[in-house]
Order: sequence, then structure tokens, then C-alpha cells
Amino acid sequence: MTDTFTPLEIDTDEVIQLLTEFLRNEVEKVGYSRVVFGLSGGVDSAVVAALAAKVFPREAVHAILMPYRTSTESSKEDALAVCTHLDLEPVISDITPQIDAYFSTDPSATPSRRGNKMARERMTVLYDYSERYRALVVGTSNKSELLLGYGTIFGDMAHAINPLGDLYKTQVFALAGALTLPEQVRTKPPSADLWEGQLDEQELGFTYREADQILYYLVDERRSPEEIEALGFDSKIVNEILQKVKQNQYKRRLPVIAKLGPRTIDRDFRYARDWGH
Amino acid sequence: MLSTAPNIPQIIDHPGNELESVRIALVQLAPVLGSREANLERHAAIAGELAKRGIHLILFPELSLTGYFLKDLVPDVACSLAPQHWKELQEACGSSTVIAGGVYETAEHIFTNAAFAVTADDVQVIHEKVFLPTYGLFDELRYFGRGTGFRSRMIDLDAKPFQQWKMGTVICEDMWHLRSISLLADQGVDCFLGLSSSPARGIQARKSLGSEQSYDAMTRTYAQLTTAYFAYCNRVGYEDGVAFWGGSRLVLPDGSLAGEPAGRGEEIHTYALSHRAIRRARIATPLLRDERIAPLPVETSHD
Repeated sequence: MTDTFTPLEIDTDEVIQLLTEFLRNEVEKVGYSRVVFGLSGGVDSAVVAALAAKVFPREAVHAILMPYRTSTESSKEDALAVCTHLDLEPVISDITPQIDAYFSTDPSATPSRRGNKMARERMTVLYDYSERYRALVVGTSNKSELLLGYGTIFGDMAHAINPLGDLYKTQVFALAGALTLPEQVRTKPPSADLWEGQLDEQELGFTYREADQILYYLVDERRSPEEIEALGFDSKIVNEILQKVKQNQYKRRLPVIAKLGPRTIDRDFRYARDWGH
Repeated sequence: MLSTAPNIPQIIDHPGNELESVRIALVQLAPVLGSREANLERHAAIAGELAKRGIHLILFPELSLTGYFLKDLVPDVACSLAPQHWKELQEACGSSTVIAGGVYETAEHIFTNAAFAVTADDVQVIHEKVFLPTYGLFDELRYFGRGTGFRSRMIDLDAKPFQQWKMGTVICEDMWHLRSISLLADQGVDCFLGLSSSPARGIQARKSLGSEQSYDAMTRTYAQLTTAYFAYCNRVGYEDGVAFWGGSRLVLPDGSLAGEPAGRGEEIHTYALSHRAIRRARIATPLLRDERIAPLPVETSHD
């Protein structure tokens, strides 16, 4: 394993140009001129906010902060710092009442159930704002999370378009640097902030830096686990990552439909989503 | 740079100073996916404008009349050579020849990824894509039938002075196969017409966009080795998150670029083509004269 891993180094100017045009194009051609997304204070949503702010006028960029009572104060501060930096007007929608009401009859619910419920609650809030502002919901999941399944199905993984889904977490950090986002957003350890003290890398059991390199070799270069181990990576981590990619395939696909007729959706009824646009 | 009517991309002229030249326009646009009507209307408006400006040959990108990721839409956007499909564009052509990309439905109801040559009084299919990619993000062979060969076509571009040009058409993936270029070069083409829907891929630091690098190398090499013009017209826009990178360009018969290539947005670039430049290149580097052509496969029969 090397410290300078050049395949993951990106041409940030090129990526910013491709992603800003992606946002403009995919939003405008379906008849929208506004975007809405959840702004958590983390690096992914901060990068989405910065990209959106480059494309749309500030009043058309709706950054929604959706804290729960256990969310860390610093997350909110960081999200507000991003808004100040980009001159965006934040909307704060506290999800504590809904979440606490739901779990009031089941206080023994695990942190995982609570976390997933919060992620799905945030999704419904975003889709309500989508209708309210006639704004398209922009996702903030990166390629590392999508491949590892480190997200909530129909929660943070639900959105209309996603500019970051083909960038690994370490590449998102590089983009955050190029977009000169506030330093605290670029340097703090990644956290889903679904419960107190939660840290992605602790929960996953490996660092994004290591995972991203392994994923790049596994997915983009289609190297076998043996070939990746031969590069000096820990075989246990390589196999754990491979298992996660396999186990979470369901999160990346439409629900499975039982085939009965001659043309079944997503199997032999095949159309691009941009059909007619 | 000239101002243009609404819905017509900016026109950038590369005048050149060749004698006896004809003018070609590369129309780099973002088609609507799956709406032949909307695209045809746009083609007609652009062709009308360029015809008025005295452009002899107007080249559009691959599948410019339909969009690229058609999947099950292929039969829905296909057309034959029947006059009703082309009337609007033919009326706009004036004395220009338009080369547009679309889906051709043969009499046997086979659908091909085709280049159509349209003039005021004629419509022809001048090439059907032979190499249909099925790897990576491509799935063309599932939806299209294969073209059967590479045949050069004589196109009369101007009456005064009489300008006949031998054109060799290739569509996107065709360019990745040396055989396509070599079969057309053996026929002594004057100008390659490359229609493309090339997706942008490759974002590594210190490298330009991977797909752009490849096409830049290919078009310049092909032009230089065949001592012919290479007109490359790529599309722009996004389909389901896939960006098409544009970069349309004309490469001269000595392998050099005629001006800066187009950027990433909708643009029209016009250039001068002259047999004199081909003649000079073939005197300086008589590669075509010195070529030793092996027995030709059946598919290379001349037009």
C-alpha cells in the first residue's frame, strides 16, 4: 500500500466543471430551476451546496438543516458556517418531535433503528420541501458509501439526482479543498451523526483512505482479492469490503419485481430516465 | 464570431485562406432524448441558418436526430427514407448537404445507427455503424443491427467551381477500429466524417479527460497517415448523468488542428476545406501513392 495513490487523485477543475454542468442540465431539462438538499455539516453535503451555489442563484438553493436533539452542536455550527461561506439562507427543520413521538411507545429501540428512522424522516422532509419550493432533491451519497452500503435505503439514499455518487470519499475531500470550503468541514472525521459519538471509520472498522483504494482496485480496475492482497492490503479488510459490496447490492437497485408479462419494468422494459428530455 | 438567432448555437468561423475552398460546419449540439420531432425541427432551423451563410456541408453528431441512450426507444424514433420523414429538413437545406445521425429502419425492419445525407432533392443513408460497442456503459448491439461495410461516397458540394468530395463516414466506435480507417483510406477518401456521441470519462489529476485524449490522438493520427481531412463532430449535454464532452474539430491533411476545437457546450464551428491542401500533403508525404493494398475484402466495394 502506498501513501501516494495517484489513481484516486482527481483533476478538481475538470470535476467541478462536469458536476456543475450536470446539475444545471439534469435540473433544468426536467423543468426545474431550484434544488433542495439536507445540509448536515459534513463534507459531502457541503460540497453539494458549493456546487449548487456555483450554478443556481442563491434563492434557488435550499439547504435544509434537520437536526435531532442528540445531533452534535458542532454539526449545526459547521452547516451554518457553510451557509455563511456560500451566502445561502439555511432552513432549520428539527426532526426531534416526530422521532420522539414515534419511539415514545417503544423506548427500547436500538440506536440503529433510531438512526435509520431519522434518515427516512429527513428524506420525507426533503421531499416535502421539494414540492413546497418546486425544487429537485439532490443526493449527497458518495461512491464509498454507496458501494459499502453505508447509508439508509429510502433514507439518505433516496433522491432525484446525485452529483457525488461516482466520487470516493477521499475524492470528495479533495473537491472540498478545491472549493475552499471552511476548514472545519474539510478536516473533521466523517460521521453520520445518527447517535452520539458515532464515527464512520470506527463503525466500519477501516479508514476511508484504505477502503477507497481497495474499492478502486476491486470495482474500477476489476482486480481479484488475491491481486489486491499482493499489493500489500490486509486480506481480512479486502474480504470484508467485498462482502459489504455484495450484501448491499439491493440498496442500489429498484425493488425486485416478479416477472410475469412480456415486458417487465427494469428488465425488458428499458428506457433512460431522461426519456423525452 | 457572429450573432445567431435564438435556439441556434453560437457560430465560430475558422475562415482559412485556401483557394477553391468549400465550407463545412460542425454542429455540436445536445439532442433531446427520444424526440425525433423536436430534434428534426432544431436541425431544420440550424441548417436553414447555415445554408443562408453559404455553408456547403453541415455535419451533425451521431444520433443527433434522436439522442444516444435510446434503449427500447430505438424502433419508436426510427425512420426510413420516405419523404414525409425528411420534408422539413429538406426544405431548410437550400443548396447545402446535411449529414445527420439517426436510426434507420431498413425494408426488413432492421434498425441501424446511421448517417443520413440530406439535400433539397435527395435523402440517402451514407453509412451504418459497423462496430456496435457492448462493453462498459455501452449496449448498442442489443438494440441495433450492424452496418455491412465502409464505402466512400462522392458528394457534390458546389457547382462553381465544381467540387466533388470523396467522403468516408465513420460513427464513434468505428473510429476505434483501425480497419475502418484503413478500408476507407484505401479508397482514397478526401475527408473523413466522424459522427460521435462520446461520453466523458476519466478524471485523474494531471491528465486531460481520458476520452478527449483518445479522440484527439486518433483524429490527428488518422488525418496525418491518410493525408485526408478529418472532421470530427461530437455531441454535448447529459443523458442520465453521462456527460458528452464535445470538442468537435477539423484536422487538416497534415495532421494539424484547424483552430481551437469546440468546448463543452453547444457550438457550431465552420471551416474551409480545399483539395489544394490534400494535394500539398500528398506531394510532401506521398503515403497514399506508396501504399500497397492487399486483396480487398468484398465489403470495400467502391460507391
